Amino acid sequence: MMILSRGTRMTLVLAAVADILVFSTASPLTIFLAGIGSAMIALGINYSFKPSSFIGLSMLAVTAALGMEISSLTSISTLVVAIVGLLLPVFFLAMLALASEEPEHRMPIMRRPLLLSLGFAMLCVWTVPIASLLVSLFAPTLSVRLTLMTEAAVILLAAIAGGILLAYRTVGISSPQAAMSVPEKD
Amino acid sequence: MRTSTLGAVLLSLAIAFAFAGVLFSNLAWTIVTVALVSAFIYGQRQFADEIRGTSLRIERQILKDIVFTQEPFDVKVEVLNINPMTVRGEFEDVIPNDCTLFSGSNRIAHELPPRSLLAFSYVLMPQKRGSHLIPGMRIERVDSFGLFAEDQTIEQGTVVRAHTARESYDIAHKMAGREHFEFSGAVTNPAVALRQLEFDGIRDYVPGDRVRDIHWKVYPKFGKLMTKTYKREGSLNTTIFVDCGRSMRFRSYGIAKIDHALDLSMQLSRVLLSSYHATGVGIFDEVRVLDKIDPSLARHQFENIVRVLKAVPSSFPASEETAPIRTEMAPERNRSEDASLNMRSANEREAFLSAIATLRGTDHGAGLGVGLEGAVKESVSKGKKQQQLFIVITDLISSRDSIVEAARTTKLTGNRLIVIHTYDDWYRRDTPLPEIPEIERMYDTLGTSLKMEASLRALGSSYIRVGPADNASRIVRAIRRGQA
Repeated sequence: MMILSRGTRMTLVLAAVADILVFSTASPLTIFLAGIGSAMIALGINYSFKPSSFIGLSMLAVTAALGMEISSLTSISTLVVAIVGLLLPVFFLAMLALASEEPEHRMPIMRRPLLLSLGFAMLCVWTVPIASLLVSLFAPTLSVRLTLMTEAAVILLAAIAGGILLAYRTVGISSPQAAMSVPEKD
Repeated sequence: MRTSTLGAVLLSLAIAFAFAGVLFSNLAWTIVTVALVSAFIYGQRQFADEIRGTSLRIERQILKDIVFTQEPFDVKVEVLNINPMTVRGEFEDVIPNDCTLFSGSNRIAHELPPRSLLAFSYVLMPQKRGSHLIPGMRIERVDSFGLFAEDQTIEQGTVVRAHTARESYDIAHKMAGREHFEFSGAVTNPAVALRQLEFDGIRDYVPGDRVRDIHWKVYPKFGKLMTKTYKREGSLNTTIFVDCGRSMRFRSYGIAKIDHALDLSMQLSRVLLSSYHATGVGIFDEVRVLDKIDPSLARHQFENIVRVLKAVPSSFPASEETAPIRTEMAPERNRSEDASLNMRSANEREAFLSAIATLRGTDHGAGLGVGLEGAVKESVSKGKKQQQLFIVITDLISSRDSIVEAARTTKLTGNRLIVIHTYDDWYRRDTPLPEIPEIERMYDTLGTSLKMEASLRALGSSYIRVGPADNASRIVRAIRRGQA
């Protein structure tokens, strides 16, 4: 388990925003919105105020999606841009923004859930190349006709299926501490 | 695990982004959807791990030496978070069923960092005597992202034993200075001789009598020397046995017999101790003696007796159908039905007796302390030939045989037994006009009780029939006047 201090969190927010801006088409409007969004997240972390961070996250997410044009995920270049320039920064920004009310020096990051959720995200993005590969193997004539809508549908389908599977595992969590000794008090 | 409002908003945002991806024909929106859903899943998995790894140590302190029924007592709760994860949420100490919150609050919203302590206190009031279990602590938890909520129960309970009402305890203390227990009857070998020169009578002078014992005043009347005789008045080692059988603990009556028996035993023991009678107490049920303290005149003997009496099981509610004491039959029931019922009850009785036969320990020799008669034999053998008094408070329903056996033992060994019969019908709720079958049943019960009284008196035991209005003063006076 890692513990992130407030300074580290601020730095990570700025790095993520910079990462998004590097990979996106940086129009003045995009930069302006990204600046406001990052400022709101930073303020939310500084003052432990989650609404501000959440609105900042929404703005940054919209900015990031608007500033990037991805038409297919079947080529490596777009895949790298999607993962490094969009998926990972937005994911970490979401985590940092949602944990803005954690006290200073106390934002715990648990390794296992982190790896699991990152694995889920990667799997969702990689389902398009994998699906494309499978289609090309079994139906070569269809593989050239994979449209943007099909790719979006494949990603969303993978996200829904994976989300349900992971959520199903947490159903029925019971109290971990069974009845221990029952001391008697007179 | 429930999703909070923020979690729902985040998911809605993700869905909106997915629609935007389709609408604007841009996969960037879909990628953002995946990123947001991944963050949501991270929060969920982390929260699940937090719940599984929760390790709290809960300690409760009852800030009162003796907890009385209908009297508030303070509970101090300390919660230590051993786990390296912060526990957020609303902590609620679960209140026992028969207790009410008197003042303060048993709920507190708190964020408990790792290796830190949360302390709060509140005041409870027990509604009835007996054991009350504080089952544990319920925590309405929220995760660090604020996306999920879950009710978690930490089952680290505490049992609080509530004694009878303080009023009864105070009455026992007041009676100690007012009432004096004097058991009439010859005492051949008392434990402690209180008065050596209690006048008994006169008899003819025989050589060897002390000169100071010669009754000079009656010499002119009889024309011969007469000697005054004295008897030794002493204290008796007394053990009070309280029947805790099922029939004693029914609460369908106006007052539970066990609660009345408990008050009587406490008050009697206080009176006996104040009269310098070494007193002990024992509690027994249908099968065994649950707890017992030997007679003593030690300084804290009354506190020890109260401690034993606190272990008496509490009364329980019982529906009329399940009450085993009801013996009345429906008037229209025919003889064959009666016979089959008798057969069935006889079979059930056989089964019950065979089931408890192993527990009674009759094959292991006498006086092993199993059952009332065993406890009496044990006390007699421990008594070093000193005469003892046994007082048994019972309803003579479930422990009838053992009491008759105990009476037989006390007669054979030259000891005394007083049976205080908490008469069942007198503890029932008043009904305006009982029906004929009910009156017949009551008449039957009275006849049985009278037969039981006769057989106990034949065995040399004393017998007092009491109801809920009778108190220890009346019993002490009855014994002193030889009415028992």
